[in-house]
Amino acid sequence: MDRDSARELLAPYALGALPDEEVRALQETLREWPEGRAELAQLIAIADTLPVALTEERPALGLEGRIIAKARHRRRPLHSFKIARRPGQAALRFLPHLLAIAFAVAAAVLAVMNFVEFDSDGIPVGGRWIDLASTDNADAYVTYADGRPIGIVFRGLDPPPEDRIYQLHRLRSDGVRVSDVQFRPRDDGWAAVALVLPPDETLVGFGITLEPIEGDDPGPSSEFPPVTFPAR
Amino acid sequence: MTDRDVAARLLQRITEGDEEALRILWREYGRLAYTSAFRILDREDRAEDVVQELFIRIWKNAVAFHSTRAGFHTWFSRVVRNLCVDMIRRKDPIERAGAIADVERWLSFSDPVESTIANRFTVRDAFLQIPVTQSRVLEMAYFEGLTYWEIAERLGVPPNTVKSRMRLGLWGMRRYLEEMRLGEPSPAQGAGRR
Repeated sequence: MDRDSARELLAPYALGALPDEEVRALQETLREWPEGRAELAQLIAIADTLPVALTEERPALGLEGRIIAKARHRRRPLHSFKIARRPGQAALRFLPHLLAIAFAVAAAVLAVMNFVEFDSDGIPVGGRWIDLASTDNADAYVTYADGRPIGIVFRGLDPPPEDRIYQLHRLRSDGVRVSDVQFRPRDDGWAAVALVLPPDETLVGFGITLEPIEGDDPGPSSEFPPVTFPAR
Repeated sequence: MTDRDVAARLLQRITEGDEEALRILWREYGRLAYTSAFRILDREDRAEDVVQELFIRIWKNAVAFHSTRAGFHTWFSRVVRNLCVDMIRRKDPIERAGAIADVERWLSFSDPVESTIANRFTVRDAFLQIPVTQSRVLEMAYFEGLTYWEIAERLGVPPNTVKSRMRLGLWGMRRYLEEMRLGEPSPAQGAGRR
């Protein structure tokens, strides 16, 4: 699509008034057209003011209560999430155990070197427990070195079914999700994973999903991220 | 503190499972969501379903929403609108998720007109000062979920005319909001008002 034709479609696109086939063609053009993307952003910002111009309607009084009640109900165990199947995971089965061991060894070495201070429960000082909102009782504890996350300890995780395994995902500040290590908690619900981040990577959070150990279908869980928590 | 900062703090608290933060988000944005959903769907029960769905999604996935680069108002309005249109067109909302993510990546991190959006009357003035032929196609597209081809057919005008009216209408509103932000009287103010 030439750029003059594409420019004519920016306003309909911003208003959500482009047929699907034209959306795809325009998106292809926009990938290599930064000026077009900038113009589109300006148009979208205006299109999305339109609801503000409406005369306000009042929702039913009970709606807030229903939303809160449903939110409480949605604090559900990870097992209930739908899972897509992923290929080649059998080969990775033991990787999380090795990484967990590596993390424990690294933490012990750092403790000896007095780089990381541990509390009476053996948890590194400087992080905090974060409730995993969609689960029943699970928490995550992110540890940091020089302000960057280096590891996560989980507690209260449900044991996964035989054919499934937990997978960690990193949520980058540019909105991209990166699949990370897979892991299985101990019988008592504890798990630890080490993080090795690229030097220029900044994170806004993490997510965990349950994935099948073996399978043919690519992709993570269909509804990502089922459980998320902040990086800081 | 900007709208984006306030929203970011609320989303951070929601990520941590803070129910009170969800209540505050509801009080700040619930009516906007419901108003928009009701305008598009024209049914109270369906509008309530969409709003409920939206807030539960935020509750479940606040971190993912937290990372959005769009202004919160922009993002919020777009998600409400898309959920409604998906309901009208009976599309799977998941199908649209990728497209929304693309758009979010393209949106500017800080749009100068964002500060004027919070003023309902300014936005309404911006909408009213553009010609009716333009505001009508904006309404039909945004609130009635019609494509520009469908609008052309209903109005009995060529599709290119509809595209042109959409473009002129949006840029007309934008110019007005930019002028309001700068505190300058709009040359268009009063002219062409319905």
